[in-house]
Amino acid sequence: MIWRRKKSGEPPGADLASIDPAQHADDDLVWRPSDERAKPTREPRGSLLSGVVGSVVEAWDEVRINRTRVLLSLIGIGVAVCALATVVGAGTVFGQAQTEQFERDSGRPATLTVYPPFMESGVEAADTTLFMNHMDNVIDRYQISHATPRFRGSITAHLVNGTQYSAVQGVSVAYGVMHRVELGYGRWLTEADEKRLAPAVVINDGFYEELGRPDLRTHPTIVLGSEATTTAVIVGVLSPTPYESGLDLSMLAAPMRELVGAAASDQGDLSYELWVPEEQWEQLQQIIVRDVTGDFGEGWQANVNRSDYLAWGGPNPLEPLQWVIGGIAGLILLLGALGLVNISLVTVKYRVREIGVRRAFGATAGRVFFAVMMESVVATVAAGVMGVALAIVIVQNPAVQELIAPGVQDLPPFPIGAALIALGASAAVGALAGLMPALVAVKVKVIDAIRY
Amino acid sequence: MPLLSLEAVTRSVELPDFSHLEILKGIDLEVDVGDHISIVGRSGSGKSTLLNLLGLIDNPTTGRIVFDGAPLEKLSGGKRDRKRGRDVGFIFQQFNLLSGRTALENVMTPLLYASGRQFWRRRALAEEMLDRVGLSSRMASMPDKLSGGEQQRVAIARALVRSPRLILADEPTGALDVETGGTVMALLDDVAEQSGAALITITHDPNVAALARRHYRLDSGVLSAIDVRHMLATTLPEAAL
Repeated sequence: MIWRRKKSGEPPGADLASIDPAQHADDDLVWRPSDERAKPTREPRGSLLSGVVGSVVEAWDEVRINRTRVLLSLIGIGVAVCALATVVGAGTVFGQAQTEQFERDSGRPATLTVYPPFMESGVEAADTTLFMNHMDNVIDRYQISHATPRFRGSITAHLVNGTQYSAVQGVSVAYGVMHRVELGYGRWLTEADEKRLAPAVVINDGFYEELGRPDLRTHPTIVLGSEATTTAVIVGVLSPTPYESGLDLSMLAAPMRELVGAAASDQGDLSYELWVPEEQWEQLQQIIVRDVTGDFGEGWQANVNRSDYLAWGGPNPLEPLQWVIGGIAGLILLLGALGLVNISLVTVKYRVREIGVRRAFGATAGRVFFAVMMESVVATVAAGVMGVALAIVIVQNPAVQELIAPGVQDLPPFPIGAALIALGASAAVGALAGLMPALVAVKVKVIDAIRY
Repeated sequence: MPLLSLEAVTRSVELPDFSHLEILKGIDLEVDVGDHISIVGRSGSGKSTLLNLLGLIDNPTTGRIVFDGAPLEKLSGGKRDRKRGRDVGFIFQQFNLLSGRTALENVMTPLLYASGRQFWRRRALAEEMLDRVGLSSRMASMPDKLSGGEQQRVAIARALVRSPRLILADEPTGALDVETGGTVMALLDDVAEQSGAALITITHDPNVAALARRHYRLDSGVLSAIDVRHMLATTLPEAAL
């Protein structure tokens, strides 16, 4: 290869082009062997980028060439990473299912439950109508998008096999969203149901069973009430829950009040639930307390509490399970790493000549160290990627999700955190496993290695 | 200023009984840009030790080595490694091609330790170099699928791909038959001359040594200039050496 000086007008780098000497025999710009070649004034350091890229390329080449050996040694790592990512990913889905169940029971964070105010003396009950007007004002004034009254009581239901008492609650349409109402059949209450002459009801699965599971498309009805009766249309059936007992039905608040009468609410079975932003619930609580005094007068005490599950406190019920499975995954990872160290050490012994040749061609001790360690890291990260991919396939599989968290509404995406933790763990294991072989590689004597 | 100079260089090693064996004794040598030097010597005369010193792989016990104006003892390990990678190309008797890698990948290997254009254009440069040694059709071949002569040509391409200023050839034809060895040496001589690099050939073959312009003989650690005509006049190379 002959290097020549750049002619004016040539593009940058043209001086580096190799040319055929036969074609340039008369070219006085071609450097002759006797010419002294340009010398650098100082020893340049290799650029960091090319050094890092070069090490990764070397490492990948080594992994590629020895893929069978590498694959065998990485099965343990891949399985461990998969287990690790699956545990965290499945834990997230399971946690979501638990969360949704909590939200069904207690409402979404942050839910404020407002009861009618009471007198400090405790002798006088708040007027229900005044309280309802007060709450309508609060909801309107503070533009609370999701709020519902909850009238609770019981009602007589006329069934084929006689009359039975059923628990009943009167709520608004928003209750369905606020409590993640999960329906087995039909639909939840809508705004249009307010205009019905025959009130719409949503019953629980036990109730539905009592009715003989009629087809909802036939608009089945039930007769409710004892003195004044009304015929209600069943529009939906709740999904069965393991702990449900007895008959239960929900309907819009207005028809319920008409049906049950003011008696139930006057007995204290009335409250309001407000779903408010988590960061503002305390402020709203204070405002509602203040407004009660304004609307009801001195001496009246507000009764406002945060009632969603996050206000309960207590340990995470999923934590023990996650620790056990995480511990098993960690153990597998450790065993995989030990196997990798073993194989890497043996491999380095067989690569003494190659390392010597690389040193002869300019690889510094640091570069050899980094490259050998990178081989391990590249291999384990590749195994980690495979493990995470497998974990995603497992966790996102509908059958697995149904097994882990049946009926979950908002399936969470595979958690990025789990993937990053698993990849980080695999890279860390690779670095630790590569450390010892890298130290051995650095100690290789170039002279002995080439003669080896 | 010479490219490389050795001044009163000695190299000794400690034996198991804690005595010292002096392998090289008072070596003085100057290598200029474009030089072609041959060093002949019997087995055990210290040729490989001298090669390691010339290639900045080993340190002298006493004496001084100056490469490109920089005394060796003033270069840190990393700087010396980088200088070796950039300025010295090695050709080994047993080729020492990396197994499992194609001819092209073998030639690309030294460029992994380069920076800038040489690093980023390593494939193109390696292809160019293999083409230069007549192996453009064997780039994808594994070393074990190449003949001895082809393997040594790959080794030559690998040694020259970073355009070194000094090429060190350790018995370059030692593993080849006479005819192939002659072809390979002609190629090496040609490519080295065109690149302007200094070429030092260490050999026990007087025919190979005769291709050089300056000739030395290493005997019991002592380096001395010799007359190539005298060397070739001897029928048996072993007798001449």
